Amino acid sequence: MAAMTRSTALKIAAVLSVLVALIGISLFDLPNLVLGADGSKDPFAIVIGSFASDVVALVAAYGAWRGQKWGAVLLIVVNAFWLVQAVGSLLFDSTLGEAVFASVMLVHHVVVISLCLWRERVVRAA
Amino acid sequence: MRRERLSSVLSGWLYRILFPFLMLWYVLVVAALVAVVVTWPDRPIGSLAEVPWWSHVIAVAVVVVTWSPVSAHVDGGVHQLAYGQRDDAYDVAGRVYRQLQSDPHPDELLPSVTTLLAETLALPYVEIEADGRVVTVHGAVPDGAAVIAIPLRHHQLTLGTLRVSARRRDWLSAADVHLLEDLARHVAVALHTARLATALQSSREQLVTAREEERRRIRRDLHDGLGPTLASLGLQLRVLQRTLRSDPAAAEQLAGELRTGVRQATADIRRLVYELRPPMLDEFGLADALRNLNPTDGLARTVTVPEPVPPLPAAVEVAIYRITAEALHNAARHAAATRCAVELTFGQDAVALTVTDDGRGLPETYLAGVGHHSMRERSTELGGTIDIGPADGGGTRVAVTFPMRSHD
Repeated sequence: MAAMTRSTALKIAAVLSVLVALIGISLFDLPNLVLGADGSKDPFAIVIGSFASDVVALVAAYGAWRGQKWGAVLLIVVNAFWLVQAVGSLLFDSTLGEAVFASVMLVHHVVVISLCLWRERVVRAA
Repeated sequence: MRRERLSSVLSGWLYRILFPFLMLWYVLVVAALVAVVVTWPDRPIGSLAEVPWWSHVIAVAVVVVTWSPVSAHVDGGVHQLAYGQRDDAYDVAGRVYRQLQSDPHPDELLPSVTTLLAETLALPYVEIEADGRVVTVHGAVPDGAAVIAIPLRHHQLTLGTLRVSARRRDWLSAADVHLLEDLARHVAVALHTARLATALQSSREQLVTAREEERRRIRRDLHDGLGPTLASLGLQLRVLQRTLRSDPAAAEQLAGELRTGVRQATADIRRLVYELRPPMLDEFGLADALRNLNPTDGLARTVTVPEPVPPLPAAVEVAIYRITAEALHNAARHAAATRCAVELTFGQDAVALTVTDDGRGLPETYLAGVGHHSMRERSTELGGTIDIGPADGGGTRVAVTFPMRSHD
């Protein structure tokens, strides 16, 4: 566990978050945004919020990839927000597919937050 | 410095906000997950009001049981994220380099570097030890924190040690330690430079002191020795002038005394001149001066000097001459030697003198005396080295090397 550096942990967290953000944008945000406020099957505020969080996640992933502190903090905040979304989906969505997807996302968000809080052990100097 | 303080304040705020935020989130997520589990048979639920009350009791129980390990883990992670992460190692390194360049005074160099390291890396404890003593220290080691030591090395020479500790509940990362090791190399160069500057200043002071002492000695010799002798001769000449016609016998005796006085004054002048620089070096050159050294000490000697002798700095010539004289004197007086070999060799960058005798050698309980100290001083003050030890076939060997390039 301690063998991985914090830089590597942040890079993994960034990659995972980019994947989820891109999936969210392509499968949920863009189709609903194209349909517009009237045509969207989900409340349009949620669509806007989801799209905004995905964009923030991409920006945060860039910062985390570069090893920046603000990137890691932003990733934690975004994934905490997504965590609530995933739990809400588990509670309120009806299909099994949605429940499985929400479960996978829940694990993903916990993993990303843990990676952003990764601790390195001291290395004894020569 | 304002930037470091701002960064420190922001780190503090980040820690104080992010940790409670994450723990609050943890409680909410646990409550929601327990609700998911207890309502799974009836999912999907229409509203949160359908979650039974005992679900929250279970959630509270889970939170209470897991609070300690989870909060410790989150606390450590947030702490290191807030305080331990360096966004830009090059920025930290750049600040240290600039500090090293802008503050060249040796007394202020190391304290300023320790303060800078502590502030830029947010370290509670930084210490620099050199020559076996703590030169400067910033802060104190927090309870239970690990201290790591990074040697300050320059050209295989360990000049001191940089000791740092991380914050409480925190560890220094590999990146932190690599950065510190990199900075330590530059601190070592600065430390070495400071030492050289101090040594150079000390050397200059020694030169001035030696010159003044030499002047004082010459003044004393002239004032106390030659001056009264010449004054006395002047008085005697006046008496001689008065008695030359009235008492020729007394005048003749006085003339004899005057001749003795003049001889004494001449001897004083010779001694004075010899102490400044052996006249033989100018009259015969270094090779013949060595061959004619102490011709009455009874030692059979061979002197090997390449001809022609390359031009040497006057100080090196005098040092070779005097060290050889001292070595021959020791061989004859203390080692009961019968033969002695003096060899002078010239390399591209150095001149080497070797004096070997066949005497009884150095005793086991040998302690360097005044003569050996004098030889050592003469060699080291010109940047040379000296080795006094047993010769291969018995006896004693004195080997001295002087660099020649530094005297160009």
